[in-house]
Amino acid sequence: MFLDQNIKKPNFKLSDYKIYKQQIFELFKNYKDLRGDLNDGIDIKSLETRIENLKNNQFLIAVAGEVKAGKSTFINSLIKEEILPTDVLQATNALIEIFYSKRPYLKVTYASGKTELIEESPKEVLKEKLKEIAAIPEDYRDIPVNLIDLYILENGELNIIDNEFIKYLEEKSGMENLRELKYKLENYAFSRSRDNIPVKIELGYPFPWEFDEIRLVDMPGVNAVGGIHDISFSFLDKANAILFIHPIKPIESESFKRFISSVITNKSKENLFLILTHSAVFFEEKERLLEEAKRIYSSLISPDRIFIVDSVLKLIYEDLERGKTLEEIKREQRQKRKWIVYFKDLAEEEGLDDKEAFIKYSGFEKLIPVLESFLLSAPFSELITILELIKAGYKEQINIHQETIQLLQSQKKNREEFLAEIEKRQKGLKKLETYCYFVLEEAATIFIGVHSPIENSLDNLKINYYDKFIKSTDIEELRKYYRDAENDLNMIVQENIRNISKFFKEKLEQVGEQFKEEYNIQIPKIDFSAIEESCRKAVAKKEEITKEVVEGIVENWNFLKPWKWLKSSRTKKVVVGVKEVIDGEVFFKTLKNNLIESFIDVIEELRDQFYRAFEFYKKSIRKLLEEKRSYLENLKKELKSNERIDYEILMLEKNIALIEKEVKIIEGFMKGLSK
Amino acid sequence: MIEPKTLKQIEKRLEDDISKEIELIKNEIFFILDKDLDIYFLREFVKQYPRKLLKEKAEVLLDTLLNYLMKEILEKIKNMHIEHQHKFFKENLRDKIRIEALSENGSFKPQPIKIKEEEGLLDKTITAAPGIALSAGGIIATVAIPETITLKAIPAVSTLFGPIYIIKKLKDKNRRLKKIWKKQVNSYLKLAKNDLKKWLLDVEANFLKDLEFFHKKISSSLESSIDRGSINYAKIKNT
Repeated sequence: MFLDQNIKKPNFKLSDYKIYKQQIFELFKNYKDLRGDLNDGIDIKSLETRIENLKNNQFLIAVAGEVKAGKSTFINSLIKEEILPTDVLQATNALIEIFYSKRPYLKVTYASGKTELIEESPKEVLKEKLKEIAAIPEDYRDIPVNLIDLYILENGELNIIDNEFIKYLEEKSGMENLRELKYKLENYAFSRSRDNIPVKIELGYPFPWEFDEIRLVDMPGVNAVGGIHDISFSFLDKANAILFIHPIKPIESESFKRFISSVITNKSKENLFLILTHSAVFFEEKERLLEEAKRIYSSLISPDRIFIVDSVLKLIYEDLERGKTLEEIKREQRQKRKWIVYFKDLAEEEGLDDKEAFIKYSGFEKLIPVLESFLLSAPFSELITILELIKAGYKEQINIHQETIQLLQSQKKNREEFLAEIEKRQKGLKKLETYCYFVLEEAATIFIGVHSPIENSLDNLKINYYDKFIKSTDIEELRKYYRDAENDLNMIVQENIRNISKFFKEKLEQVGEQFKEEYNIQIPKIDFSAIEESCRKAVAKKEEITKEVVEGIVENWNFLKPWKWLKSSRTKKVVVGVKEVIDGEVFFKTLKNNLIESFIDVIEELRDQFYRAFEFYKKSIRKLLEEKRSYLENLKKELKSNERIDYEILMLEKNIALIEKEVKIIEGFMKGLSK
Repeated sequence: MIEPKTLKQIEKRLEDDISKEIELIKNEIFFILDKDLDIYFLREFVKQYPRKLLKEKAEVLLDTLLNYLMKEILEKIKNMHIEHQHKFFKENLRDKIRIEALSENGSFKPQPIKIKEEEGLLDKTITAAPGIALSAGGIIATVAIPETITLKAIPAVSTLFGPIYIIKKLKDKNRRLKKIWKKQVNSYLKLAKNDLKKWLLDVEANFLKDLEFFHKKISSSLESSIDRGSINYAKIKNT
């Protein structure tokens, strides 16, 4: 991906993944052909969705960190192209999404909905445009422009800059004496509108990497205390990996600590990496600093998730890869000069060639394999799940074909014997249906009612999170707890759904052999993973956090409704972002109260979904038994000639042979994947 | 099919479950009430949530009752002829009873809770704080709250710039109000507990009726191995 040579082989490689994926699409196509209309217990729709998701899969990597931490240089060094402006102070509140595209383009979406598209332009033009949008203009470096933009984003416009507003800016930004710069604040604020404040910037470019499924996202700088704005927060929740960039010195970072403890959710913490940059500056002591960082942050992040890198050294390596010499780089890019001189010397001392040396000193050869492997571990296990499902489907197809062959043979031998065989199986099926009913009833006593695990967990979770909501001291903390609560709720429900699957699976497997021996009857296969998946989707619902706002008197024809003339009766619910308005305390209190209420509703909804999921299991089992019953009924009614029977047996045997061949391919494939 | 003694045991367990669930609701409400939250929010919370939680728990208790009853029946059914077992399964008793119990006519409908509103609280705040910079339309609007207003917007107004002595005064008042509300919630839940019990016993009676009907059906069509004398024609208990 980001490196082509000189790196240690990781467990999972993005290039391998791409090949495996293609092979799986082939295997799935064959599976669908061989399966035809036969119900082999695998939910074909659910499997198709899995394949579709695989096709559209994207890996989101969020790059976060304070302004001036070196995020842009880091991204440039990852994408092997110096396209993000690095010599500017980033001012935008917008996310910059960077991804592979054959055709270079830059699309800017503004708060008003207006978009601007620059296509087919050289790198320099795109870079210049990015600089224009993202950088703080020279004149306004001493005022908090992004806070002003944010205010306009959330409130539509800013008509007056009074002392109260200036006080708010000072508090939020930590900048002092802004009152003296009132004229600047006014000049800036009055020139801004939703029409020229960008909210999303997309950069597609033919970067020199072969892997087009990664989307890198340059997050707006977190503030000095680690906080972020709402748009960034929702994105972090979706990201597959979060790279927090922090300069290697000072090693203690309040913003990182706060970012972990109060901003990102517990779930997102699992995807977090800490990248310490500028290692070239402190090259002699970098190992010591890394050890110190591991010690300081040991309670917050696992030591194997902390890396030390230097993005400039990686960029020099990329230049070397393009065929440039160190002399040429020195001449063309003066800012890299001192590093080239220093590290060239060091490389000679250590007997390394230039490329080898710069990639080694950059630290990226350690980071990238780990990152690749981390990003791919979930998609690889999805590949294995898909293969297992196809294999299970094939196995069931073989069973069904063999069962049919057996019946056809007995029909050929003796019609009466055949009918007796069917009757025997029908009797067995009746017993099986009754058995399944007992199993379902047993499941109900375990999984529903006041003594069920889900009820106990929900009661405990509710009180635990009420307490956290109430004790939270600011909006960021509250937002984090709410998402944590949602994630925990989903986990509880999913765990219970998994347990139901396990319960049914075990129970049905227990009796499987008995029914096969006694009645020649095969227990129908049930695609529990598909049931689990659809239940999971049903419960993984995210609730918006809402708050009350007062509608204008002209809004919604309110002036025609006398009872709406009073401001207090014109409230409506709207979805909130994080609205850091001047009376933040009031807003926070209201939000807190509303959260408690909406949390109760979410729990109720989840419980309901779980109960529906349980019903879904019941229905799925019953439906399969019903299908089996009508299959036997139809067989009984059908009278076939011996020629017809021979032909059908031949076709079934041919199918079995084809399936067995596919199963062998899958088994070999799975072996390769699990190596 | 269920012996009176067993039935009594089920009812005893159910009663314990009801008490435990009511206690949980009470704890949840009191937990929130004990916190230093806005009094207007708390008023709304106390007005709405005990009822809401009761409805929720009623459904879970219904499943619990059906679990108890079905467990007993299935023990008996397991010893019957496979045809009877199959017929019972086709009867789908649990779902039938559940649907009836949750239907518009059959469902549990807790009464609304009546709590002390203390309307004077707001008026006094205003008269005691002349000259306070009140946000336009904010508290003034609360004096003439129309029936339709949701009270969620009011906390935002009520916390605006108040002199400390008023806050103190309000806090004392709030403490008193909270005490009164707790008492009211307590008595409300006591009454609700009886209603809930009555509703669940009605469900139980319907279940037993249907069970009896099933028994009659199978005894007339096939030779039954059931001991008819053991069937409990439970009287509907409404206490």
